[in-house]
Amino acid sequence: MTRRRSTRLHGDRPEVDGLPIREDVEREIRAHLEEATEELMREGWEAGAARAEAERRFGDVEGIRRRSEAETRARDRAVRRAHGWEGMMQDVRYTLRSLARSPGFAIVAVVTLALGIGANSAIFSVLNGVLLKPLPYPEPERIVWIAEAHDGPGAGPGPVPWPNFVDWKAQSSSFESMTTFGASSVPVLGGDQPVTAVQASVSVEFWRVFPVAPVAGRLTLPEEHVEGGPGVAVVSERWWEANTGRDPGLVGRVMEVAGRSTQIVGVAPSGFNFPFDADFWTPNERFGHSLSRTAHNYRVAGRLRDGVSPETADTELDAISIRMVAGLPPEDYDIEGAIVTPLREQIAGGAREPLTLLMVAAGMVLLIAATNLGSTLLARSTNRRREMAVRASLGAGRGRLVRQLLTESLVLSVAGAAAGLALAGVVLRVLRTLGADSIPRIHEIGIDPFVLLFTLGAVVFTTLLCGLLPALRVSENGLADSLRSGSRGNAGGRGPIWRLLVGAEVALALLLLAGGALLMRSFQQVLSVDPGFETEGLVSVSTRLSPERYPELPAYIDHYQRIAQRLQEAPEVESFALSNAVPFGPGLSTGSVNLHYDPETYVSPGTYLAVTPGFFDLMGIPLLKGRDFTDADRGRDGEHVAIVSAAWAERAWPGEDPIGQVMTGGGMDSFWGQERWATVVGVVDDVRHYSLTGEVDPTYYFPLYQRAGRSRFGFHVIARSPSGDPAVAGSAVRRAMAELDPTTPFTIRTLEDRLLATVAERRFILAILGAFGGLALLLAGVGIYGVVSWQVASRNREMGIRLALGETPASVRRLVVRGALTMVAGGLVFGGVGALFGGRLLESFLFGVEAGDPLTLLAVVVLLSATAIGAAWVPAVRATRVDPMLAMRSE
Amino acid sequence: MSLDLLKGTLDVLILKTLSWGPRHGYGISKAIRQATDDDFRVEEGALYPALRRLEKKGLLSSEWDVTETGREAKFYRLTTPGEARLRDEVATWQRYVRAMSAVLLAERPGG
Repeated sequence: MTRRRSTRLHGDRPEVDGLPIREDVEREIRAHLEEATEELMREGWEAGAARAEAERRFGDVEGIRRRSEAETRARDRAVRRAHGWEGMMQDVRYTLRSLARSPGFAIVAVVTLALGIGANSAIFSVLNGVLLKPLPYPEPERIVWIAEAHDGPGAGPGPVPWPNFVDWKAQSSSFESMTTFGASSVPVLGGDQPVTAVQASVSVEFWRVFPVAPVAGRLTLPEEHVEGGPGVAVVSERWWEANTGRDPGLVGRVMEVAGRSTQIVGVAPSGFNFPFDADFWTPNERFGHSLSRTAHNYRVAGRLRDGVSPETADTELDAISIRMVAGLPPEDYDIEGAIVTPLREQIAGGAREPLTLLMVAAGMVLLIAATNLGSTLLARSTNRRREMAVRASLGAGRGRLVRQLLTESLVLSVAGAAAGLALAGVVLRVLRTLGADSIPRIHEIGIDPFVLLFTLGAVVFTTLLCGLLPALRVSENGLADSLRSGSRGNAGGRGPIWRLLVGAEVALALLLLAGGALLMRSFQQVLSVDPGFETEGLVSVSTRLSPERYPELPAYIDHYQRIAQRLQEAPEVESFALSNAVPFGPGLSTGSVNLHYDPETYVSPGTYLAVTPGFFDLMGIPLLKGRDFTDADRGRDGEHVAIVSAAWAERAWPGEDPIGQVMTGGGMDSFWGQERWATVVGVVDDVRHYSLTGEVDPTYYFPLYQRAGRSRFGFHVIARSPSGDPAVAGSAVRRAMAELDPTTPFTIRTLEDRLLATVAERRFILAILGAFGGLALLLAGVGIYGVVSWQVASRNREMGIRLALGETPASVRRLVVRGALTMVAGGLVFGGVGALFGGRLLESFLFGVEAGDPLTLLAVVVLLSATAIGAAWVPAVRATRVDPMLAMRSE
Repeated sequence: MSLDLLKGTLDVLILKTLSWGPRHGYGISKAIRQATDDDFRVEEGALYPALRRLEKKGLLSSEWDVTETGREAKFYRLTTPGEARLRDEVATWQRYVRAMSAVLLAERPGG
């Protein structure tokens, strides 16, 4: 038997010798049958019979065909797997070698991607921790926040009166359990030293809505949740750890919480600090409840029955709300319905908009980084076209070359992602501090499997984006051409693809910079708002008196006067005042007011403070009319007085002289056991108490020594030292107060600090977006530099000729820079238009500046153009150093 | 009388047949038939999955070529691992046959 020709050496492709497997098997069987038939005919069989006999001897043709095919397919799969893996490792090794040859490129590429991916992983970690991750409570998706919708002043979702809660709980069937809760900052005595902690007062089903397992002791029991019940509390693990070093003896110990003897019965598990970052949970049934249906004292949470949606529960509670007040006189209630929202939405919903904004911005940074790297890889691939052509001619298939390019970008992306994750870890530490005051659940953020998955997605994205561009180029260009002509990409990067890449990068950078600039200007505008009082040098020392040791109002007033006396003698304190609240701080309340000795009159609520004489002077709030409080405005008897702000006067007595008018504030002064009408003795200028971006707050002031009851929930000493150093004044006040009552804990904060805390979220967003803008500018600069450098290098010869023909270096430089600006111009136009329209998305974050502010846009365009010129200048100068002779001789 | 082929023996027969040189499927079946004087009842088709299985294991390699009768056919040849396997199988068979023969042909064992 002679074998004439071998069609192939070894089968290592999905086909067998160029045939599909099916065909291969069929042909083989056919050959066998024909051969056998022929032989039988030679033995004397008649044709038809011979064929039949051959088939009989062969057996089950169909079954054999199937089994044969299966065997060969299995073999092909194995071969292909081995081949693919080996090929990939080969590509990776090749990539590593070629990267090692140009370490500069490798480092810049990895750093670029690390910045882009790191930014995304960090922001996604925040987004994930704050918005996506379930709350760390058992079956958190069933926990809802229940607010009351009511009309009247301050309408909108708000806290719930006790009787309404009772009716909801009794009549609804959507809930497994329902609880009220509230929280306040209180002194805690009995640990290592007096401290302030957040105490949550909760009702009996709280631990059913949040069924956590205590790590020590037990939770509060139903029999402790009754009126007149014992003073008991559950403490957080965090507090247990920080204040007692996890002393097991804490359970059972009696401490003073909010001035009341309280026995610690157990420790809640780590991470459970609901609500409001609480450290203590006490029964709120102990002192009874107001039965008024307009006393909005409680927040409510519920656990839905399995399978009940918040919407269903909302509808049910709405119906109950209407039913339960039917027949009541209208002044006895103000409920209009219930608002049921998932707890997570209630806690973190406000962060959705800023975090989405930052995620989009981070995505843009990654796009810039990937475009940047993509264009560099494209440039390199163009430089390597000869190499590619040689490899192609040596038998590497086009698919193989494309795969090589993708491998290159994959290796860089993976390295970039690894470095990016490390970077994200560092950034997260900064963000946790930066966002502590303004972003809910910020302590829960971290790099978890979800974040890793996201990062993997970023790797795939950058790999495809960076790798595909040059890969497409390889497949579309005739490689053979490159081999024939000696030229190395003589187009020199002047094709439309470059304008597109550089343009896209510039446009994205412009959008980010414009956004950052707008936020920055907003921030400046916010900070330049005059709150109406001074903050410089002022410090507040805050505390709260124990109701057990200071049972009566005169005891409060005595204590305040002793403090005042001490401070008058303290050389470190130049001036001071006491108050029940600090602007931009705790204790601020609003209340509605009656006028003209007429309890039927009604003025919509204003902010009120109770202050000592000298408060306005100290705070720099100008007295417009009348007089300040004096030491004579004191005690229960005597004439009660008030001072009002200009806006409040305009609201209460429009067009009239406020001096001499009378007013009283709702039931809040019941400490004296009677309602007292106060005569207005002065008018002061308006102040912003809550927010720099809001309107001025109409305010009325009472003398603290007459209305000390208003400081039951805390009082503050505001002081200034002769040197203006708030720390000096703070510690002097603290010392004086501690000497008078060593059992009170203090919170010391400068007023400046309190004011800045209200712009913390704004600062958080600005810091991140600003950083992204800076990063975008840097990346765009590097990208332009890279492309222009490569253009100059590939046009070496042309530059040499130009110089040889007598063009001046200046004109060659101009040529290069002009080329760069041409690439950039399109991006500036598109980015500028995008910023004009896209700026609207930012609107809710802006203050005092328009989304399409032309000045900001112009500044950004100038900045980017300057960067482009700067980035092009270095290669431009390099172009003029070309030695004409060398350039022409090369190649 | 024809014998049913013992399980696994077809592989050895194929390897042995190919040790004489490359052959296509029909040639292998013919060679087996002639060498065994038709003692074995082999369903001819069963050869093909076996060939491909041996190829999968790397014991054979294959290529399309033209037969002496001018037909296209797939030719199989023994690879180096195939040759090694054949030597092992032959040795195993010989031991097996010796052992079986010793028992089956033995006189009644003496005390």
